[in-house]
Amino acid sequence: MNSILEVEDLVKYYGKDDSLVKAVDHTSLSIERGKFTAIVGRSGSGKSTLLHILGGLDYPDSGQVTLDGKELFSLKPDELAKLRRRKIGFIFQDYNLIPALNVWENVVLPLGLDGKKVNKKEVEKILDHIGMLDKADVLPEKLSGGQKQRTAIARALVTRPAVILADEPTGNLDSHTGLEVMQCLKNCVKEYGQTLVMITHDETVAQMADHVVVIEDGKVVGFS
Amino acid sequence: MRIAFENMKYHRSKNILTGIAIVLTTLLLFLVPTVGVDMILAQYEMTNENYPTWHACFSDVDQQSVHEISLHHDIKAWGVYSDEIASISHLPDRRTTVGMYYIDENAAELNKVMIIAGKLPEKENEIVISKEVMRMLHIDGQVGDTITLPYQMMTENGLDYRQEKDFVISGLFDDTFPTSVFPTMYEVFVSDAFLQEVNADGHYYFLFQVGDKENATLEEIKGRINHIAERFHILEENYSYNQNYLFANYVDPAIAATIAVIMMIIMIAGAVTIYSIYYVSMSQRIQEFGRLRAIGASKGQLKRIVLWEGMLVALIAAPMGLLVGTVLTKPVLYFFAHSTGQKSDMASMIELLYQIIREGKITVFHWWIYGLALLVTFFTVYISLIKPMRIAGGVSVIEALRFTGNRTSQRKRKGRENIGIWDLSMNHLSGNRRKSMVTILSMSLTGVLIMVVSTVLSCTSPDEMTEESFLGEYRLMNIISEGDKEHPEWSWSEIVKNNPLDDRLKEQIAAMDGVVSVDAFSHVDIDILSVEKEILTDEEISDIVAEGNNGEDICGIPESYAKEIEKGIIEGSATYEDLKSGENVILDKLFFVWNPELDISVGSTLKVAVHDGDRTYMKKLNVIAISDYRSALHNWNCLIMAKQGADSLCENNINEMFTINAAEKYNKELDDKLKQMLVDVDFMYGVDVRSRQSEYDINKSGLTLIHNGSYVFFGILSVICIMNLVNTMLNSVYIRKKEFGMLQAIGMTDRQLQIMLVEEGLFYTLGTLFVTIGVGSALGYLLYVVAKEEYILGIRSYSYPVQMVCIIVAVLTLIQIFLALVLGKSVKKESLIDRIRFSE
Repeated sequence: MNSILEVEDLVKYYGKDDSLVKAVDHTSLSIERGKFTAIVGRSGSGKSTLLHILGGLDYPDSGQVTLDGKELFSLKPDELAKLRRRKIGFIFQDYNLIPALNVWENVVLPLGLDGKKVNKKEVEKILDHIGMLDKADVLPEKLSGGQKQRTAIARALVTRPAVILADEPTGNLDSHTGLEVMQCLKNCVKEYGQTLVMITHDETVAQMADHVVVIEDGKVVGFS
Repeated sequence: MRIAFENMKYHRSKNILTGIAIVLTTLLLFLVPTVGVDMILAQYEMTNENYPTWHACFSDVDQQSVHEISLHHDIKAWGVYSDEIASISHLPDRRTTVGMYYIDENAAELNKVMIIAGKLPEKENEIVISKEVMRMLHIDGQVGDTITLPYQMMTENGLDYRQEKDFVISGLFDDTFPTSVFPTMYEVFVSDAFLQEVNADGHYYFLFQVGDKENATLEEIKGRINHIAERFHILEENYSYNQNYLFANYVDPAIAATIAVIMMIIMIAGAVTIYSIYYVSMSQRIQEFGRLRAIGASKGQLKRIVLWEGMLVALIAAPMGLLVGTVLTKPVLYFFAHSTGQKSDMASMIELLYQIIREGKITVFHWWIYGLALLVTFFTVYISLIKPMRIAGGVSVIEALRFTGNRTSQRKRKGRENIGIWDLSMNHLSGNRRKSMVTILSMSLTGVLIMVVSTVLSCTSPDEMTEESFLGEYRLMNIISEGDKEHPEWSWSEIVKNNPLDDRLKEQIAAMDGVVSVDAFSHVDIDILSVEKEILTDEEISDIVAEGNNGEDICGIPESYAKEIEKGIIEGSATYEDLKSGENVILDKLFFVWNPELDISVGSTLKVAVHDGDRTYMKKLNVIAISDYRSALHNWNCLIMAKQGADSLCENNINEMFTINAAEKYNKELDDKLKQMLVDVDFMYGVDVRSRQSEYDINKSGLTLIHNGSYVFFGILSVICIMNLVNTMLNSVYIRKKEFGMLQAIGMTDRQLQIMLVEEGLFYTLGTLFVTIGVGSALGYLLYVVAKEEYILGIRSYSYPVQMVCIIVAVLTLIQIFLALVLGKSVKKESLIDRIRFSE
């Protein structure tokens, strides 16, 4: 298997004694390059914590995460931030768009942070792909949930990252819109040859995945 | 109340900032009046220690009237002393006089006659004398000793033949009396019995104090004195006030007004800051208020929550301000006492003040100032909360729940193709235009104030002030005191009859070592009777003349200043030659400041009454030019002629001033010699001898006091307004915690976040600097123009406060960068993932 992300004996606990929560408990995992992997599990099973650690947003208590051969937590904070913007795209459940920026600006923001010039055609192509080209000037406040999430997808794609990490991107959407968004995401990932790791509750969405990882009490209990 | 209390704890950082602003506001509101009042009290104390304490004196009062007046209900204390009974003769030099008087116990006390041994005389042959007088008479005596004194009785026609009498010393008194203008006038006191024996006339000076009332004003006291005088038919020329004492002891409304204005400034600065802190933080809390509304809180309740929260903070902060103020009062008073330098007359006065404070002769703290400071602070907090209360009361549930922190009514906005850190900063600022403006404007308010004041201060320089008011290196000037009923001989019309500044003295000075030249300036008293065709009737003219000298003065300037005279003309033209005739005058611009009602211009003819000693005559003068001279040149006499011209108007010696140009800038020996020379000249008049150096020292210490006072005051005021910047930045970081988390999740580095915060802060700094320096410079220049026109602080030329601008720029920039760094660090403290989750 040609894996892009390697997780080795990852541990992340919260709290102490009676209130100890084992969010990630000695988990090892390998994510295959160019595939769509869905992480499923009950609420509180530690999926989100795992995803955050995979993306370098949170630090584990122990264990390693290797992205494209680079161990994430050996990097300095600023190096990690740079790696995040170049190699990882995030999609959150509640979109996390910057309210003061319009669709276009939100999308090109990661490029700006990386000091890169915007390739206008490329961005237009992405926006077109997700059906948001005509809404490029609109502010997030005036968008529907589906449109917001599509904007977030475009933002995650714009730097052409190797991995897209999505935390229940359809969680706030009705099932019809959710499917639309999923379709859009899947197409894009396929077109750009990216790896997609997604947390979901949705059976239908999980069925679209190439692999499904089941998490329970911080441990991987199933992989298919 | 409960919610307000919890809120206060919850919004800790904002309330700490508000608290600091309130502490500082209270501190200033307490310190300014306390220090002001204490300085005044110390001065009063100083005056009370040195000056006689009577309020007014009626002269020529007979025994019957003394009795009647003393029964008046408004008279608190009174005493009498006699006219000069005799003059002690056989003194070492003619300048010194020793008068013999009768004084009663009360008058002795009111007049601060310090009996150091024994008591006042009772028997006909008893006397109270001072060591100094005995020394002059070559007598050595103690209480109980008998001494023989030669004296001449005072008669209607002058001093009688000399006689001698044996006196028993009943008491000794200290006559080192600092108020005495002429240390050559001494007194001895005899008994009433002696007075009765030699003087059947029995007329007295009646000294008294009127009944005390708390905080009476000077005018009130004078009014009551006038009332008593009227009641007992005392003629105006027969009574006088004890000006120095009255002025020092009764409230001058102008001082109270000055303190009130300063307190107003503090109030405004404090209110604007507190308002701005609340206003900026308000948006952060819209959701909170919306939720409260949703669960049924009424408008009034929300308003009360905001009000109580503010008041609770004030309740804690204001007493702290008072506490800090109490601790700082004495150091501040000492700081003022010390900051004036040590070389001048002022320094010795300040030194006395310092002593008075240190020895606890005045009450340094006043309960009413504590009360006042608290009251004004709470009022300030209240007015600054009015708008935030209204905002809180006006929050609607829907609006609040939709609120995202960035309110915008826009649907679309044409964006930028590329977006970087700078664009993010600008985006945030433009999205919060009102908040940014409130912050910038409230900070600029103090900034502008500082700029305006420092412009004026930078225009003042002791060098320039001295240059403005002083010619040459030394100056001798007649001290003129018009309308002093005790000393009619100090009026100009009397001085000219026996003017000490005569040609002989001038030559003597010119011959001294180190003196290069001596210039004499003349002075002529005149009354302007009419201008051109507005001819007054003879009756009106005689009224004006009868009223005495109420008008203007002509200054005769020597030829050595001919060039400066010609150069300072701003309208019309005149040569020094034109001014020699005594027919033509130049009017200084200052004339119009004092006489705005007179319609005089170049070409006007003035009909004037010229006073020359006892003689007054009419004359016409042509106004040939208008000038703008430094005050040194005309010595505040606004009609200018050549000396020759002015002299031609009078038969008496009208030299008012000698200016001496010396080879060296300052030479103590020459200074002392000049002073000694005047003592040697036999005259009874006052001449002020002053060196440029001492004038400079006085100016310098006065300015230092003003400078230091202003900068301390504005320093504290700036700290209050910086609380604004802290709050705005803190708030903008707090409200965007999640946004920062998002940005960092998609790859913003810590460094980039730091840069973004610095850029945003820089915007506030630049905005504040732009308004402060722009508006401050313009207003400062305006104030300079006014100060120059109104002759305030000797300001003549404009000097831009470069130093202050540099300080403002540096301080603001540094504080802002520091803030951004600290805030950036504090953001980092929380883990990225916590920030993304943050949803408050």
